[in-house]
Amino acid sequence: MKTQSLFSSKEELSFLRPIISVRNLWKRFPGVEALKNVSLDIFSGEIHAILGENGAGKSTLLKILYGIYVPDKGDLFFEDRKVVITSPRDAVKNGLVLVSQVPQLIDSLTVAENLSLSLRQFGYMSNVKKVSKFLSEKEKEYGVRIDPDVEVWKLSYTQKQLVEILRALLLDAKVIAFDEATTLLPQTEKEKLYEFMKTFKDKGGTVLLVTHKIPEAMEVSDRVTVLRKGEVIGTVKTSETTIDQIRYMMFGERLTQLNSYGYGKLSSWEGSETLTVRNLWVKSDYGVYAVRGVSFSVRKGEILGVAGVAGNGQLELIQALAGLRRVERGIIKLRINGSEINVTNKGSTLIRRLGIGYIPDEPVKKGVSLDNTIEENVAVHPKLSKFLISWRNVKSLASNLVREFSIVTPSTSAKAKVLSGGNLMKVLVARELTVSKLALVAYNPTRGLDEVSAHYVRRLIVNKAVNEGMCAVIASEDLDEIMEMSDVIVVMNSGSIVGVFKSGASREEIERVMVS
Amino acid sequence: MEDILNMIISPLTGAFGVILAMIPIFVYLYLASLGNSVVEKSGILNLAIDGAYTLGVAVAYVMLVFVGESIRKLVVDPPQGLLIPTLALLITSLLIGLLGVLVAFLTTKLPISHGAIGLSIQFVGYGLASFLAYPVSLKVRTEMISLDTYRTVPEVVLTFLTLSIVIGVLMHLLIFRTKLGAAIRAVGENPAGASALGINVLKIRIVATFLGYVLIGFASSLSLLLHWKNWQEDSGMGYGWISFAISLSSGRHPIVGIITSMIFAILIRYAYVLQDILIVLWGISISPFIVYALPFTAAVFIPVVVTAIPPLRRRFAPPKYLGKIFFSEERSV
Amino acid sequence: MRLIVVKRVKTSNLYYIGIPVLSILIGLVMSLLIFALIGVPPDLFIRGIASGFQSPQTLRYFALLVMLGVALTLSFRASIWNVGAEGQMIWGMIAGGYIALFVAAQSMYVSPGELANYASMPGVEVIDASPYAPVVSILLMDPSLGKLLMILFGMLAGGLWALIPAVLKAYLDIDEVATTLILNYVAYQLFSHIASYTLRGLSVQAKQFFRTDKANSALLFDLIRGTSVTIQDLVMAAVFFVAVILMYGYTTIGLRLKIIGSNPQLLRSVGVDERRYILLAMFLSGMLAGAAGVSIFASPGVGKLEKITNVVSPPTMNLGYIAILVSWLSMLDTRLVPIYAYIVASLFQGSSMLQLEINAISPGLLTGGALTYIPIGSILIVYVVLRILTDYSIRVRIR
Repeated sequence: MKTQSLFSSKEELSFLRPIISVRNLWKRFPGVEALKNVSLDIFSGEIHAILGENGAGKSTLLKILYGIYVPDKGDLFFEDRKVVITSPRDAVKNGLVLVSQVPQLIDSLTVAENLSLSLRQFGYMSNVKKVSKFLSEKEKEYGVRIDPDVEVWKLSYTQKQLVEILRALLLDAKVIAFDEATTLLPQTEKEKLYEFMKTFKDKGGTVLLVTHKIPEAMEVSDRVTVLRKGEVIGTVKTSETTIDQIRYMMFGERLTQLNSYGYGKLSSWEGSETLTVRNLWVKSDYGVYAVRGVSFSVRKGEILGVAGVAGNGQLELIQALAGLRRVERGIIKLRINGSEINVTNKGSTLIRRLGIGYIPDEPVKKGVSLDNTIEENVAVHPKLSKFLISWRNVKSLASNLVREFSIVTPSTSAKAKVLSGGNLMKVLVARELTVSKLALVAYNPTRGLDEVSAHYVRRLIVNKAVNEGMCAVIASEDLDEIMEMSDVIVVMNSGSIVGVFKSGASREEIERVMVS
Repeated sequence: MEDILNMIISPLTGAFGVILAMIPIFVYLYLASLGNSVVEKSGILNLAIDGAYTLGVAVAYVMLVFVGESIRKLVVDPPQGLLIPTLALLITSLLIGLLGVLVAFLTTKLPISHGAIGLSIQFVGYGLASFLAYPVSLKVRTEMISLDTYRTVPEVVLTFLTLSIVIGVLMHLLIFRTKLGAAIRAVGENPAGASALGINVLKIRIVATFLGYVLIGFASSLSLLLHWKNWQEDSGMGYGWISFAISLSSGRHPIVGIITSMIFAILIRYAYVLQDILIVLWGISISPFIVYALPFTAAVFIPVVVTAIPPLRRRFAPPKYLGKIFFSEERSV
Repeated sequence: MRLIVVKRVKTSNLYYIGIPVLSILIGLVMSLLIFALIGVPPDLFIRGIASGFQSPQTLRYFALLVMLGVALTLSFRASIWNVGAEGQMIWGMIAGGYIALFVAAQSMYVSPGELANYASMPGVEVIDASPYAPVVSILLMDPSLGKLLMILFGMLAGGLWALIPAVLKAYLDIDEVATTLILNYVAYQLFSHIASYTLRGLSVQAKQFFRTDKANSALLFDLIRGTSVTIQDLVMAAVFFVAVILMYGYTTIGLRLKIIGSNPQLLRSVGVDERRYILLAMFLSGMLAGAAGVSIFASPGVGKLEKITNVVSPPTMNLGYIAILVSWLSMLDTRLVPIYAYIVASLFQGSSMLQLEINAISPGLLTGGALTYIPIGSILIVYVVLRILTDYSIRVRIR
C-alpha cells in the first residue's frame, strides 16, 4: 500500500470541532446492560481510540453508530445535528464508514460489484463495467492495485481490508471507524495501516479506532476513551498518559489484586503426559491458518493456561482439541491407562467418550439449550444417560450439581432460559466437570460469572485436577483467570506459542508478550 | 427404422410440426423457471410458486373472459386476434407480480420461515384460483362464450419463442452485468453484508420478486392462452413445481435454463413417443411416468452433483442465504 | 412512529393456546367473508363446517391425521421441515400393496370351469369373475400376519424414502423443504408406473387401464360399522401417539430429537453427531407417514393401486399437506396433535359436505378446490403471521 499517494487534495476542516457526539446512550440485551449512559465526543481531525476488554461495550457502541443496533435511550449528533441512524446507509450519508475485522464484502461478487453497491453515483441499471473502469482510475490515483473484476473470495485478507478502505475513501468518508481491523493483520501490514490513519488525519479526516490492544492505541491515537462494563471510564489525551494508567482504567481494581493468586497446589500426581499436541496447524473459519505449529503436553493433574489477546488462535486450538475443528497438520495424542491413543481428526464423539469435558466458546449458544430443562441439559450428555433415561437419577444428579455449584433456579425442571447467564454457565461447567475423567478443555470457563462464583468455579476445576488427576487446557481472555488456575501458562500470539511461563510469573511480563 | 420414422412424423406433419408443438411448453416452462431463478437469486426460497402459477392461470382465464366481454360491449366491431389475450396476459402478469411483492415483504421483514410463508400462500393460491375461475368457467359453458386465446400458428408461436429468449438474455444481462443484478445476488448471498455496503435489502428483494413473479404470471397466462386454451379446476397445478425443478437443475442460470427447459419440454410433450422409440431401438421399456418423473428427479440430484464438483459449485451453487431468515437482533417493521 | 420486533425472553403460555385458536377463528371468518362475496350465505357456511364436527366420516380423516400429525411433528420439532409426507405415504401404499398382492396372497388365473370350486375354498377369493380368464386370490399366510407385514413394510418403505432428503440435508446441506416437496412428485409418478406396469394386475386386461388387482379382502382392515374408519387405523394412531410421547419422555433418542430442534450445536459440543439425528428424525417421520399410506391402501374402499390421473387428487387425498396444518396448530407439541387432528379433519370433512349443500342451492358456485384450500390457506397464513408473537413482541416506538 503506497499510503503517501492515497489522497487528492482536500480542504482542511476546522480542528477540534466535535464531529460525532454521543449523549446518554443506553442499550440493553436480554440479561446484560451493554451500554450504560455512555456519552462521548469525537473531534474532527483526530485519531480517537476506544479501548476496552471483550464485553466492555465498544462493539455495541460502534454498531449503534453504524445503524446496526438501535439504542434504547440516548441521542447521536453528527456535526451538531441530531440524527437517527437506523441503517449503515444512514451512517454513510452522515460521513461515517466502517472498516471491520471481518470484511463486510460479498465473497461471490467481484470487487467492482461490491463497491458499486456503495457508490450512489452509479444507478441501478448501470453496467458494472463502468464501475470497474471508474475504480481502475481511482485506484491509480490512490496507488492501490487490486483488479476490480476479481471475485472477492480470491483476495487475501489484507487485500479485502484494502478494498474496505478504498470504499471508505470513495464514499468521501469524514470519519473512518476501524473495528479491531488490525487484529488479524501481520505486523508490516499493521504499520502501513497506522501510516494510512495518520495520513488520513493530516488530510482532515477523523479516525475512530476500536481496539483492545493498548500499544496500538498508544502508537497512533490522539485521544483514548476507555470503556469498562458498558460505562465510559474516561477520555484522556494519549500524549499525557501512560500504559499503566490506561491499563488501570481498562481493568480497574482487579489490577491491584493480581500477581499472587497461586493456590499453592499440592499436586501429587506423577507420571507421563495425558494430552500431547505436536506441531498442530489448524485453519480458522476464514480459511487462513489460525494455529501455526503449536506443541505442548499436559500431565496428569496439571492445568495448562492458554493466554493471549482474543483472536490469536486460542479458540481454534481449543476446538481442535475437542475434535470440532479439522487438524490440517500435526498430532493430538491421549494417554489412557498407559496406552497412547492418537485422536487426531477422529471426531468429537470418540474424544468425548474417552472422558474429555469441553466448555465451548459462546457457551450459552453452543453448550446449553435454552428451550430445554436443566435436567434435559444434563441428560443430553452421552456419558450421563443411557438409552432409557432414568429421570430419577438425572434429577438427583442435577440437584447435586445445583447444590454443589449453587445454581440459582426455581427447580431442576425449569427451562434453561429462565436462568441468568451466570447460572447457565454454571450448569454447563457442572455438567462438563462431571464427565471430565481425563481432561477438561475449556474456553473462557467463567465468562459471565460474578467474581465470587468465578473463583468458586475455578476452585472446583483446580480441586478436580488436584484430587482426581484430571488435566486441563484452559484458554481465557481473562489473564487473571489463567494466572489463578494454571500450573503452566503459554501465551499465543498470531497462532504460535510465543512464551511459556510457570505459575507465579509476573503479570507484566505475560502481558508484554501478549500484546507485542 | 421405418416404424420410428413414422412414429416421429405421424403425430404431426413433419419435423416442423414436432418442434412447433413443443415450443409453447418450452416458452412457459422457461419463463416461469426464469422467474423463479430471479426470485431465488435474491435469497427468497420460492415455495409459493405453484400457488402463484395456478392462480396465474385462473386469473388469466377470468381476465380473458372479462376483457373480451368489456371490449365487445364497448366496440361495435370487436378486434380479432392479439389484443384481448395480450391484455389478459399483461394484467395477469402485473397482478401476480404484486403477489410477489407480498412474498418479499413477509419473508424479509418477519422472522418466519420462508417455507411456512410459501406453503401458506400456495394453498391460498390454489383456493383462490378455483374460487375465481370456476364460476366463470360455468358461465362460459352455459353462455357459450368463445375464448379469444392466441392461435397456435407459427407466427404467434415463434414470436413468443423469440420474446422468451430475448427476455432470458435480458435477465442474464440484468443479473450479471448491472448494479441491480449485483445487488440482487448480494442480498441472496449475504443480506447483512449487503446492508452494511449500503443496500436496502427489502427494496432489492421487492424488485427481484416483482420481476420474478411478473415472469411467473406471464408464463402461467401463456400456458393457458397459447397451449391449453381452456380452464379446468386443476389447470396449472404442478407446473409451478416443474418450473421450480427446472430452475434448480439449471443452477438458476438464465442461459443454462434455456437448455434444461428445452429438454423438459421435449420430455413432457413426447413422453409417449420417446417410450416407443426406446423400445424399438434398444428394447428398453421406459414408461411415460418415469419420463415425467425425470425433471423432478433431476431437480433433486443435480444440486448434489453441483455441490460435489468445486468449479460447478462456485458457478451454480444456490445463494448462501437462500431460505434463511434475515433477522438479526431487532428490526423495525 | 415505527414498529419494532423484539425477541422475547420468556414465551407466553397464553399465546400457546391462543394463537392456534385465533388462527382457526380468523381464518374461518376470512373464508366466510370471501365466500359471502359470491353469495354463499354465511349461515350455510357455518352449518356446513359445523356438520363436519359430527360426521361419522370425520373419524377416518382423524385417524390418518393423527398418524401424519405425529409424523410431521417428529421432524418439525427437530427443525427439519418434512413436507414430503405425501411421497412417504405413497411408498407406504406401494410396499403395503406389494405385500398384500404378492407376499401374503397371490393372484392367479384359473380356468373358467374350476372357478366355482376355487370360490368355495377357504382363503380364496374371486377377484375377477370374467368368463374367459377369471382371477382368484389365494391367501398364503394368516391374514393377521399379512396385515402386520403390510404395515411393517409400508413403514420401512416410507422411512427409506424419507432418508433421501435426510441424507442430502445432513451431509450436503441441501435444503429439505424443496427436496421433500419435489420428491412427492417423483413418488406420484413412480406410483403410477408401478401400479401400471410392475405390479399390473392379472385381472387388468384392457390396455387403457392401469392398476393392480384388488387385494384379497381378508387382508384389508376392518371397518367400524357406520363409519369409514377401520379398527387398525385407530389402533395405529393410538399406538404411534403413545409411543412417540414415551420416546420423547423416556429415551435419549427422544431427548436428542428435541434438542436438535432447539440447539443442534449443543449436540455437537457434547460429542453427538447431530447428522445422524437428522437421519433418524426423517426416518421415523417417514415411517409413520408410510403407515398412514398402508391405512389408505388397506381401507376396504380402496384395496388396490391405480394410476394417478391427476396429481391434484392423488390417492393420499393431499392429507400429507393438510397434516402440516395439524402439526403447526399443535405448536409442534405431540400431545396436542389429536385435538387439532380432530378439528382439521372436521374442517376437511365439513368443506366437502358444504360443497354438496352449496351445489344443491346454486350449482357450480364453488368447487371442492376453493372450499378446501381457501379455509386451509387462510388459517395457515393467519397462523404464520400470529406465530411470531410467541417468540417476539412487537413494540411501537415513537420518535
